[in-house]
Amino acid sequence: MNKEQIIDYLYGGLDEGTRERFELEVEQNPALAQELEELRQVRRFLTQSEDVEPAEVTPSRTKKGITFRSRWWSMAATFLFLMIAGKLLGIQLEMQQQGIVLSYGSPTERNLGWQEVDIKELVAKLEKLDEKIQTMPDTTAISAMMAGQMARHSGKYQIPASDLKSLRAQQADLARQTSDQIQLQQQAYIQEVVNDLIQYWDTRRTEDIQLINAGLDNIAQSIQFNDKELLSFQSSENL
Amino acid sequence: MEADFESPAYKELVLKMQRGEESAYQMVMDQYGKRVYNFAMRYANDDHFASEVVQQTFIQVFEKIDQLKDPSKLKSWLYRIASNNCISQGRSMSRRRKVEVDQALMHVADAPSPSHHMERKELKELVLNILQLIPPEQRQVIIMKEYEGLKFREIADILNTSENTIKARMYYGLDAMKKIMIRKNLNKDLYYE
Repeated sequence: MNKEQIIDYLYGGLDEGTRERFELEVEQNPALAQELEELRQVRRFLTQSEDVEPAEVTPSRTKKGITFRSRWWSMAATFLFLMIAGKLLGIQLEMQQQGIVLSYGSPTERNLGWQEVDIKELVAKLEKLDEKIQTMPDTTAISAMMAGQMARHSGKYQIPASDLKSLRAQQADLARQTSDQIQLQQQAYIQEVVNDLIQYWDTRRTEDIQLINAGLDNIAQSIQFNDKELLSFQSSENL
Repeated sequence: MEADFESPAYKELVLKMQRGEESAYQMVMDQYGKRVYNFAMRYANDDHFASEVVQQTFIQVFEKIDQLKDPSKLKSWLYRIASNNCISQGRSMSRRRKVEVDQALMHVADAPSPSHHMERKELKELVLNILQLIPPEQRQVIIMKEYEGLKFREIADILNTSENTIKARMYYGLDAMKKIMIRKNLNKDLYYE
């Protein structure tokens, strides 16, 4: 007796003649009879599982498409999933002066009026200034240089002593003027750099204050008092 | 009440679905929603799993109804979609859930004793847990035959295989359950009224 016939017999799928022959064999074969009884037991055991009412999640088709009566927790799970997925994919959500900004990739840069190029320029200026200070000639060196030249000229052309004295005075004056001019230029340059620095910090501070104000405004807007509540509040104040 | 799949009214129902008439979808949902849910519930013994299978199945029915050329095959077609969804959903079933089923079965092995008469709810859970222990292809056949009342020919059509293969799976499935029940010492006096 093969498996298919046993199943057919169990589920009433044998024709009359075959069934009679099968039953005759069962009578003569205790092992087969026991096997059939055990399979019937399993079938009876299976009847202990009754149908259950489905959960509320039932799809329905609307004109707009297929919709579901979903549960609150599935929506919460979806939201949480989107948050995590967004973070993993590099999607940024942040509040700026203009409102909420959704961006993708690296975190958005706040425009504070100073870009990277401005900072680089500022650093270059500072380095240039430092270089100038390092190479700045002092009045003593200029005087010595000019005195040497004058001495060489006086020896060559036999300049009179009075003229030589006058020339030395002019030379000292010229050296002083040159030195003053260099110092004035350096001061102007330093002033320019300091002004740039002050402007940079002022801009940053202003932007920060504006951001804080925008955040406070948003918080204030989210707390919405309706007229009734305001009246109630005012009347309680009057009391 | 079982629908007559050859009746003109039934064919008209399928045609209405293909025309996108909402009332026709609702009728099919009402008739098969519970059936698909219980099919999936017995397949995995998990409410969330069953709900997911119901959703996926009816989404696919709605989306692919135009592909159904023979209206009398709606029932087989729907069970085939549900069956495929059970298999794909089962593959992605969480490891945590599988551990839960294993733990439930360990509990089953300890609980019964010859003098212990199990509650109906307990028995039902026991049946579902033991079903989880047999191979999916045998489990599907047992569920379709025992609970959905499908003919072997219909099951063969749904699973796209021969009737003899289905009967063999049925035999091996019942036999596997019998062996588990003997191993778990589930005496017949334990659960038969």
